[in-house]
Amino acid sequence: MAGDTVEITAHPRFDSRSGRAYLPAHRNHSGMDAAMNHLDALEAQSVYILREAFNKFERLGMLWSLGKDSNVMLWLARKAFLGHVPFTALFCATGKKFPEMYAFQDRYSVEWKLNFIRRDCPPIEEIDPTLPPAARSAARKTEALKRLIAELDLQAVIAGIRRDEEATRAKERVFSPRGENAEWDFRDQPPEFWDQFKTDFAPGTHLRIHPLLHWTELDIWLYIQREGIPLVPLYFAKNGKRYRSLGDMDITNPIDSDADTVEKIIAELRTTRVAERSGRAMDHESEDAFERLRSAGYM
Amino acid sequence: MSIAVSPSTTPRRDDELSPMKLVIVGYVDHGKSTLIGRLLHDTGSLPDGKMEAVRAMSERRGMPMEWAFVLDALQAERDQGITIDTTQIFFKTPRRPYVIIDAPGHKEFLKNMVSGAASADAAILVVDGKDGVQDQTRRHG
Repeated sequence: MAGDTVEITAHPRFDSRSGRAYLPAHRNHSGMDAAMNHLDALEAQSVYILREAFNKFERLGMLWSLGKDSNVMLWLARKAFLGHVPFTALFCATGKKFPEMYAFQDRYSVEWKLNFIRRDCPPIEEIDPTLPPAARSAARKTEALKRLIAELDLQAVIAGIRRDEEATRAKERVFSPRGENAEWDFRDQPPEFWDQFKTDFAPGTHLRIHPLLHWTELDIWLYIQREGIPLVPLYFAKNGKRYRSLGDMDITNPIDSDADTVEKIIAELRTTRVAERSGRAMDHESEDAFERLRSAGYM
Repeated sequence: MSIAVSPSTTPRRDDELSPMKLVIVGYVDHGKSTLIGRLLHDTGSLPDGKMEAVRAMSERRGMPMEWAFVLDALQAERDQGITIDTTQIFFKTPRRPYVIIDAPGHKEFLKNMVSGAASADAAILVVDGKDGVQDQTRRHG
């Protein structure tokens, strides 16, 4: 098979200080070139989506949860726009993140020169009481995001969800229209053929844009390894435990692991049978909890 | 002795290949989602606890073990026993990674089927041997 024998070409590194990077001319934007390295193809496709988003929408925000995926997404945005992220980085503060995450935020919001906006989530009492407890807690972020969208009059929000994380996310579109109240109508999603994304909607339609939809958890870590992307240290094992997915302290659990380097995490992921979000309580409270969250506008 | 290996000559791991994208198409109820659910189970690709969860979902609805629930994640899909929207899931063999694209078989969801199929490298057309070729079999074929 041709794809098995092709040499990997040297990859042009992204210089995080100067912010210089370029995409070689042989890359086509949809990443369909069989001779491409897999990570190059994923990267090129995400860069294409980010540029398409920037081209079509003036008022854009990008969610920065401080997790591995959103760091990769910011890294890609810096590559796509030559070192400068041209949209607002948004953070909905629950007040319950790990201290390491806040330290990371303080450092990299400055180092990456982000136009960064942080807003507090409303208290739990204001959230739908019929949701199970962890989902109700997570829904605070949905509410904060809706208020941010209104405050900044955002046309679209870029979020770092991936299809392989969770079964309802597996059904997402790259450019996903939302109702007036941010709700997701999974029954009526636009067609997406090849790299043709529908970006023309009725005035007032809000969009979620998902540039990492096609990446797997392993892809993310291989890319972190190749690019040397900084991460919150909680992902790396300490005393036999590490966090595989990060959320609020009270509804997120670590997994058993001795993987304390990126290389060991990659080796672990190649053989694990534990689901990535197994430690995220809101996914597992009831069969429909996560679908209800997402239908109401959760990421 | 150590040998320096430059990145361009490091052998590539199988999971660093781009995945083959495979779409499963065919008439409604001919077993597309079931085939994938079963394939993931038999190859040991389901995460721990998934099969037990699917069994519990099936029992709650008074159904026998419904393999399609691995992919049919939406409540409306499970309650009606149909696939509404296309899904992409990741699967690998020792040889290479795959993206398996499940597509709905109902006529009214043709748009979702084509969205799934557009990005595929190859397709499996599922036909129920007892039922034979139906109109959606022809449309998808």
